[in-house]
Amino acid sequence: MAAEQLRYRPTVRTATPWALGVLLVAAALALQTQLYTGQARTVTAIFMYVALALSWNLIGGYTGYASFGQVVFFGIGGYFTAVAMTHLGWSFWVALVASGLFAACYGALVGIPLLRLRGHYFAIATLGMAEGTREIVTNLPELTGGGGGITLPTVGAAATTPYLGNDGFYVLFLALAAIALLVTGVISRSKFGFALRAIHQDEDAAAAIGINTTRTKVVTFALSGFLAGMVGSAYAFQQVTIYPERLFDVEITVLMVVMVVIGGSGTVIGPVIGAVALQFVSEWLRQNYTDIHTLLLGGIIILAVILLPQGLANYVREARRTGEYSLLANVRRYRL
Amino acid sequence: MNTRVLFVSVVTVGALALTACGSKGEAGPSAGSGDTLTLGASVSLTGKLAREGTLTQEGYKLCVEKVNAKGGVKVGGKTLKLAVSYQDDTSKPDTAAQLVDQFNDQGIKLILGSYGSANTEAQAAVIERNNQVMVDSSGADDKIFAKGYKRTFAVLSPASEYAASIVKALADLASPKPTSVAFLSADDGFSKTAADGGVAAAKAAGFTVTGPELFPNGATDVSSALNKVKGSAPDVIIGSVHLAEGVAIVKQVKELGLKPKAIGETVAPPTPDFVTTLGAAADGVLGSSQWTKAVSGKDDYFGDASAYDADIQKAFGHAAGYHNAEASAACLALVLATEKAGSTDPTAVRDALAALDVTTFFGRVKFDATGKNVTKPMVVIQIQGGKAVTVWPKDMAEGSLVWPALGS
Repeated sequence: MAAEQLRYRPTVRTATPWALGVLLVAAALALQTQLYTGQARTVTAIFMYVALALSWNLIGGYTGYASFGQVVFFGIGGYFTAVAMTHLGWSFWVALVASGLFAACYGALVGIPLLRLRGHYFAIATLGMAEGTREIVTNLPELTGGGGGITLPTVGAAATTPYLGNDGFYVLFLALAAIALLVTGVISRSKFGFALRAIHQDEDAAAAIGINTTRTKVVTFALSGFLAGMVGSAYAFQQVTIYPERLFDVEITVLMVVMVVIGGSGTVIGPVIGAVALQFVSEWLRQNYTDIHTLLLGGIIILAVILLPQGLANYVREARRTGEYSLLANVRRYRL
Repeated sequence: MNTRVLFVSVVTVGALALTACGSKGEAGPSAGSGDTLTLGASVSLTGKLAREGTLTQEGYKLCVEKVNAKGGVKVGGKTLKLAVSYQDDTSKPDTAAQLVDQFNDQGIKLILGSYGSANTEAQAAVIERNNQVMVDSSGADDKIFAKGYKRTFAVLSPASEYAASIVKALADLASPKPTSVAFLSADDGFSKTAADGGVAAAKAAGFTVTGPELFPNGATDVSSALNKVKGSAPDVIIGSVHLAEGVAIVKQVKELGLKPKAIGETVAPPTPDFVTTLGAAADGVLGSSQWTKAVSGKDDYFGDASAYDADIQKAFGHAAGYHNAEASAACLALVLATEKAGSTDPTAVRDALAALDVTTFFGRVKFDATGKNVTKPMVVIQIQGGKAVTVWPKDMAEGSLVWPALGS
């Protein structure tokens, strides 16, 4: 795969994915005109998870560092925005970018020690880091409102930025997902992206061929934090009142991981497919099987992971190369 | 090449799926058309509020059954069958709010609240934007009603009454009267508002007040908060808590050697699990409740409180808790207001709710300008011999207060 991509030819073929990316965003904008305002909100949640899954994919998929604390950036971004708008009277737009930067700095700071760990140890350490950060946020009630939550100013004189409404947030979250997609697309084709893949495959070998692994990992962690932080910021503004319990909910991390794994980790389009599919299925199940929807969703996830352990994007790529489309053969090839 | 195929398939599948979803919701006034009145209810059937959410749904279901047994909802010369569209919000405020939006797309404008203050608060904001109307069955935090919302009405007493009612009961009944009260509280919006209400009532009644000391929501170890109040040797310890923290307080008060004359707790003591978990240690503990079967008042649909209890027992096989009752009462208030409005138009129903003043099995339902039901008192119970006995207000009391409550 890497060899194929290294043969760089600026042709119609290499330009096509970019054009399709633009088309995808245009299709999403066109779709908005066909939706009721409540449905727009439901689709907005899909965009949010697309952006989050793409952010996790950078560190967890390309680099192979399974962060189980990714929600920390989401939470920190949300709380930074809440505090900046409530106590400092910042405009949302300034807070949005600042939240991303703040989350990136936080990622770099905790990344320097944590990214020395590998595998399970890294996963556990990031999990602990997220839980710890939530406790800190909960225990600063003067600043964050503590467990009782904090309400962003969206009405009256205190409102620094007019509330965007369902239609506005649709465009905002779509833009965030598009930015995450663009960043992933650029990285995937860049030398930096190949450095990440090299670290994933064999970190010592990567270091031996001259990749500064520590710097590369920290930059990636910070970048994924930047993306997730901006998403958290937009989420906080959308929800108006936020609570540490939800903003640092480990379930959000788990969803990101599941979406990336099902869609295909370490690919550009995989997390998008995973996020759209999982959100769509879970929403559909909830509306149609109110009593047993979580059970059904769990079953579908298990089935997907058994049949497509490498994720849908990677499965299609391999199947096209080998001509072997059988799912059973796929299970045999990847059996644990 | 592969990437291209994937892009194309994603675009097509995504667009198709979402267009399909777009044609599903009818924005027309389906809620009032035909011969059915459909209310929307986002309930917490899964997630951490699943237990309370299920009890809420039971309350709504019994209401539908009772209203339809009487023929239905009489609206402007027509009689409509009552139906509720249930959706699971998985105990998350963002989903609960999203579901209100989805109901709006389907033309469902009359909404019954989800469980808990966080969910209700998120819903209330959407209700206001969409010009829907909601009767809240369990979101008690006063914060919800301090935002100038005009379309959310709560049948239950506000959070500020939860601990305050225990204080009032003690001031009223305990003899010799205790002099000092220490407050402990879980660190969530509802519990903190409840604790603050208790502190205000205690100061007004002339008690010496310590706290509130906070611990995390769901804590099973509250010893550090108890150690902080131990020095002042309070006569009464009042916890603004849920079940887990409530159980922890009773256990650890003993373990740490505190000797209060009474422990009072919001929310936890009236739930059956409280007695089951603590056994004899639960005896004497005071609790506040939105409703018990000793509450006075009756209506044409449910009868009185003990008839309601019997109906829940028959339909769901357990005694009626206040979570059931407040849900049924919310549904009943919405039905009565719709009949009074003579229309299913949400603004007409809103105006009828604002003017509503009825007596029900749940007590009196009458809303103030902010949408809170301030006319209904909360009841205070005491665990006596493993049973929750209503001891206050005096006119509803099933038994008298045992004092000192902890007998030490």
